[in-house]
Amino acid sequence: MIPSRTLFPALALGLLAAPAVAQDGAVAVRAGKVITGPGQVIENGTVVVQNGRIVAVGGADLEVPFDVLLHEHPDAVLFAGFHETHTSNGMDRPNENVPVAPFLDVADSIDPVSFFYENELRSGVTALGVIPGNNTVIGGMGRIVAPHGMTVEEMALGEGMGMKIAIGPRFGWSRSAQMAELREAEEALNDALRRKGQELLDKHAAADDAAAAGDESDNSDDDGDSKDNAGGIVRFGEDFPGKELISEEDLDDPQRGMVHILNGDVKIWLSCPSATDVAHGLRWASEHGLEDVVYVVSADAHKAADMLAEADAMVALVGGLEAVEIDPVSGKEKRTFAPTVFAEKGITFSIGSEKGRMGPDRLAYQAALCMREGMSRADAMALVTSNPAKLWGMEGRVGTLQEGALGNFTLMSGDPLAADSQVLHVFVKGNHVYDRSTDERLQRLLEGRNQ
Amino acid sequence: MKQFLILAALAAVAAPAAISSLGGEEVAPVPVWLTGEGELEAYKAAKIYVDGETVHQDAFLLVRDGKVAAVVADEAELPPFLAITDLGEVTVMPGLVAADSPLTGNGNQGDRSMAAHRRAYDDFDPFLDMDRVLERGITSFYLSPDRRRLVGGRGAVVKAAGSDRVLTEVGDLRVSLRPEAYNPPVYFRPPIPPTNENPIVPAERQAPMTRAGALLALRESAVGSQWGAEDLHSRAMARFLRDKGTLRVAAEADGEIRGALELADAWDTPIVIDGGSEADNLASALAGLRASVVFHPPIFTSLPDLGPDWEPPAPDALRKLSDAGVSVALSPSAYGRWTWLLESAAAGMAFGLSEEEAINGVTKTAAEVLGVGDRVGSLMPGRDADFIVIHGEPLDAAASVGQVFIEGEKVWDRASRAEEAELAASNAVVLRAGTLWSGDGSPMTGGVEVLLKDGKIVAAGRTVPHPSGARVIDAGADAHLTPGFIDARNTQGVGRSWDPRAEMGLLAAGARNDENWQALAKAGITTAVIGPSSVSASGVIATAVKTAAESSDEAYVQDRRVVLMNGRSNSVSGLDSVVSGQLRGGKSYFDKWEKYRADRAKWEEEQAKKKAEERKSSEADLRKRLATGAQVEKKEDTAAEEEVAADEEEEAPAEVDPINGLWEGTIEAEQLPEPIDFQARLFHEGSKLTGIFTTPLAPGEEAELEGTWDADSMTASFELDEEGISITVTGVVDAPDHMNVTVEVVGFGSTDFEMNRIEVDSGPAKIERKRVKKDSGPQPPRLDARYEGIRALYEGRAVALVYADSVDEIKAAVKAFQDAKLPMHLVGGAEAHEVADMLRSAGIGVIAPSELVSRENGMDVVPAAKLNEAGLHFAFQSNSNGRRAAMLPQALAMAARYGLGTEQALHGLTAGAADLLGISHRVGRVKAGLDGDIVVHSGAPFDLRTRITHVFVNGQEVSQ
Repeated sequence: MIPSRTLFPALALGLLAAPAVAQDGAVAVRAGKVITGPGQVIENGTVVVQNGRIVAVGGADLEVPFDVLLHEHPDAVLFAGFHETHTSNGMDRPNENVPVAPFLDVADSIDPVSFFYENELRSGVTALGVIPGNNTVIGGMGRIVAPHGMTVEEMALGEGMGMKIAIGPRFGWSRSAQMAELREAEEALNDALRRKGQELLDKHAAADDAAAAGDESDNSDDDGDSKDNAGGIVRFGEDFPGKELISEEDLDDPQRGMVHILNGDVKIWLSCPSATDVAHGLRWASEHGLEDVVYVVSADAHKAADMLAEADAMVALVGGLEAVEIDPVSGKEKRTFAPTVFAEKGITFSIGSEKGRMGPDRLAYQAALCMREGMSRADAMALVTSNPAKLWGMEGRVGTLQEGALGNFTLMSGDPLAADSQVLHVFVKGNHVYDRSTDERLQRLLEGRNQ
Repeated sequence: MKQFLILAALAAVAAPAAISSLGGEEVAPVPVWLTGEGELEAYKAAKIYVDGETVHQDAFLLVRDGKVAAVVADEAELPPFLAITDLGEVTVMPGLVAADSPLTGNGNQGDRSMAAHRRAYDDFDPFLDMDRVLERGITSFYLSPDRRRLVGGRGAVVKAAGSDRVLTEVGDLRVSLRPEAYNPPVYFRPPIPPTNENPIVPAERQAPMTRAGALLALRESAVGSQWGAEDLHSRAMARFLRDKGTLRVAAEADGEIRGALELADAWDTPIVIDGGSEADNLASALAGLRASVVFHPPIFTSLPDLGPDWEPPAPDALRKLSDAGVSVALSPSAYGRWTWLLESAAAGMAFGLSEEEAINGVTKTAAEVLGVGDRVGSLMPGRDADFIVIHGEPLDAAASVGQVFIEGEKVWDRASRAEEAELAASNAVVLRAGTLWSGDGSPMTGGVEVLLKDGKIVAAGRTVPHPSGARVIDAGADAHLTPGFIDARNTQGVGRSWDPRAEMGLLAAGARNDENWQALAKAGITTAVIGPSSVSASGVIATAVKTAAESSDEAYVQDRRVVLMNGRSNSVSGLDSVVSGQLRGGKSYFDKWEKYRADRAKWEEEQAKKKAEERKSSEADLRKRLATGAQVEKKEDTAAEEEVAADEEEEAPAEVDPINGLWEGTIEAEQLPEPIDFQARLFHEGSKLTGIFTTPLAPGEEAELEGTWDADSMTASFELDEEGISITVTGVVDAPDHMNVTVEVVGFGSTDFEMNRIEVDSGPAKIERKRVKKDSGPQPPRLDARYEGIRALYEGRAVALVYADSVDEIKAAVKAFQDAKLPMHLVGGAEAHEVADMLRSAGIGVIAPSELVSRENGMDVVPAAKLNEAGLHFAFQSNSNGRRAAMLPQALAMAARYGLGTEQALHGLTAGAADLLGISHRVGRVKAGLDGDIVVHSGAPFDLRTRITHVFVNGQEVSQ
């Protein structure tokens, strides 16, 4: 018999662990229409999720395991939910004051109880890329999260999003100042690495001398973790003495961040708001031989669409879909809808919502705009579902409904892109995380304050 | 293969030359431009500047692979089978090189006072619209790093267009010794993370505060960089000093320039002084260090506040520099537009540069100063084929850039810009020629200009303003400009007769695209009085219209008409009545109209009054009703009941008449531009049928016709005889309330349509009642085509041209018109010179006969010359149309030769005619404010050797 003195703490521990267990939800949902991916529709489809992942997608006759609760929504449309590729909301603040901050991680900044996430959930978003803002030089690491969870770990989807680097100048800076700061950071790192390399060489030489002299007692540097000091962390740039000796633990946080960037270990989100920034950004990336780069652009970048297409670049279009210019000769206003330009050039891109504007602050609205401007329904849907997943490097895990993908999906009362469709339910990792019928805030808004 | 063919052909051509040069000379080597790879392109121009000094007339620019292959003056030197692009009478020169530009370096400045590692190229926007730059002929320009920092960074040089736009990405090091660079912000970067070895330190205050501080900081920085200072700036400095890059120092004042020279001397780098308004004082010192100067001649767009210390550079500043051997590049001052390079070159001449030096200052020298002289700035073989096509002399204020080529590709063309073309359609054209005939008196010679804008002549004289974007047509020193010609009598587009109501302007609308009209316009006849060829005694209406118009509005010269009247008579006794009788008839017709107008005005006034009263009473009624309420309503009820009763009475059964009632129909025919809806109220009394026709196209107008009704065949018919044209309208009622109608215009054809009855009338009585009920007031008198012309005269809307030849005819006509107090002139007037005094005193002119030179008694006589000698005003007529009428100016050449003189002939064809016709406020002279009707002649007008090269009507060119 286990004494109660032991039992209760054990139970308490078990209860604490319960949410972690609940994360790996098991559920089956049968809906009138299941959109598994752009242009792929199953009428009366069924999705089965076990351990937080989709195990089967099929028609009405798909067998549901006996231990999985089946939800039936014959009038609803089920799809992977909207995906916000790039946002700096949901943190205590979008940017640090320090221009070069490769040591930052938004995981330390995300506020899980922020009203922003609740609202995103309410509008059917199942995944967001949260990353430092563009008012920076090197901004820090981003995270891909679901808008649900009490901790950042609970919210997290995947490993990490990548590093924000801005080519577009910080507020009050010129681009030459911006680029100079970037070069300065790089050069400072190179200096430090060379000094460190020399230092390590000297140390090894001293150790060798000591060994040759038969003194084996001095082994204080070895902390037993051979992985951390195996060297070879620096893999970019020219060789210099002692380069291969430098290991992760020889670097401080900023240096480690910079080394990962220049090694190409992390995906880079290169903020290039204007077409000019795109030109300089492409040049910067190719100079450094960096390939895993997503160009975060504004609609103005449509002028650089050819360059982006030629570089086979991935593009996240944020902050408005339409570019307005004044023709210098005729003085006439010229409007260009950037998504159709990008689509025409065959660029892989996603679109984002616009903060602070009713309508464009919803991805459904933005995608619907793209349809209005001539894109097909499948292509427009891809911009807010599967393409963000591609940009994140999470293809097959989010953005589409297929075996092995996370059990993230949204049920809507009708066409996801229709203005009058309502978000009914949202599931994240198979957990039922949003139900319109129990959304108190929404009910108060719609029905007035009760009491 | 192609290359081989060319060489083979060349060998064949060259062989005889080799034989002929047996005098011991060696065979000339094959020119180097023939040996390259790639296809040759040739451009021919009247003048080609290789650089400021080397200019070829009528030469060829050869381009291969985007590079200049050669400039060849002799066509014989060209390889055979070469396609040549003839650019025309233009100047070709190297693309302009802007030694400075504000595109970078002016915005947010970096927070380091010294930042040699900064690059202006990073701020370059490759998507910036270059239209305004190319328009000015600029093909390469400098990008400046931050201007308000001691060491701003490295400049760059880029092209304005092309595939690879970078000439120099990391160029000169720009240093500013100007006060703008003083007091930079503090510099603060906290260490991350702060540690004992790397603590947070206070923000760093940066130099300079003074010029001495600036120089000290620079020297320190240079020394520091040599001794291993490791920050980015120092490293960049060390690289700069090692590579001996060009030092570009912003320095204006004497002391600043001295400081700059000291630096260059100490650092042993080439130096460029940016500014140097006082550099002339240090000319020899500058020359000693082989310094160059980017000089900014003051060019202003407005009158800026330059401060109390500002002084213009000395008038000979650049001469001194140049004489000392300092190269001078020119770039406009900050007060002007940076793209005004040609202007700043011209302004550079005002400070003592020669024209060659000034042109080099914006091309060759500027390129050398920027370190890209081996690529751009001249058209030497091997340089980039960046060239511009200029209309006029490069430094002429009026010169405009027509085309821009970069690396052999045309990147800008004034003509092909859609917006530009749109502007050009209505906008400015500057015509340039040697001689200008204003229309009166002697011409202005020795170079003249006329500016046309928005369809009007804006200015004419020695020089006129050149609005930006104006098209300049330089016809050359031999060319003459005259006003557009006026043909005082033309029958273009009109037959023997013309309906006086018809819009004459419609006739000329679209003339721009009509061959016959074009023939007139191309001959220089820009205005013609168009009227029917047959002229009756009572007069026909003619109108002065433009011969190249798009719309009828554009066609009208004014709404004033011309009434052509025939005052000729065969019988002497009838002379009196010929003109005066017609005028009397016309007067009574005019009176009728006057009476109608007066009556109508009175009636309308009464109507208005009545309406006002009605409104008043109804308001009063309403007020009363509101006051008494139900009582009034009750009264209304009874009224309504009465009405119902009356209706019932009317509906009492009666035999329905098959024809009486309101009919409705639509005439559709190919000849009609659009279907005509109309209504006809028909009623008959026995076989007599009356019809009142109305159409919404002419509201308020009714036509009442008398016709016949055949009840047996159910046929209604009307016959009309309008001005000799017989029209028969026959309608057969084939079903109740339906009629098939045929309208036949005798001799022309017929058209069928249907009519439906929409209202049934029981009989004529009701119609009469209806008509009475509808009081539409006094109706206009019936239109009388005969007297419409004279009516226009009496109404002051026209001037009369009376055909009269003999003295008696002339006298009779003049008397009749004087009695009637109406304006007139004569047409023909064979004996007019005999009564010259009378005509002169009455201010009557003569349209000379269309036979401009006649043969009398074996002598060539020019009737117009007689008129001229008699001191009479005269004009000319073609009395014809199309190509025949277009011969008028040529025919006048003979008249001018046989006794009239060019001046008089031109006056009669332009200003004189406009005066006679009363249209001189629109046409006839080259004068500001009048219509843009100008004829450009290759030589003197009315000279048989002269050709008309351009004709403008309403400011638009008539295609030649």
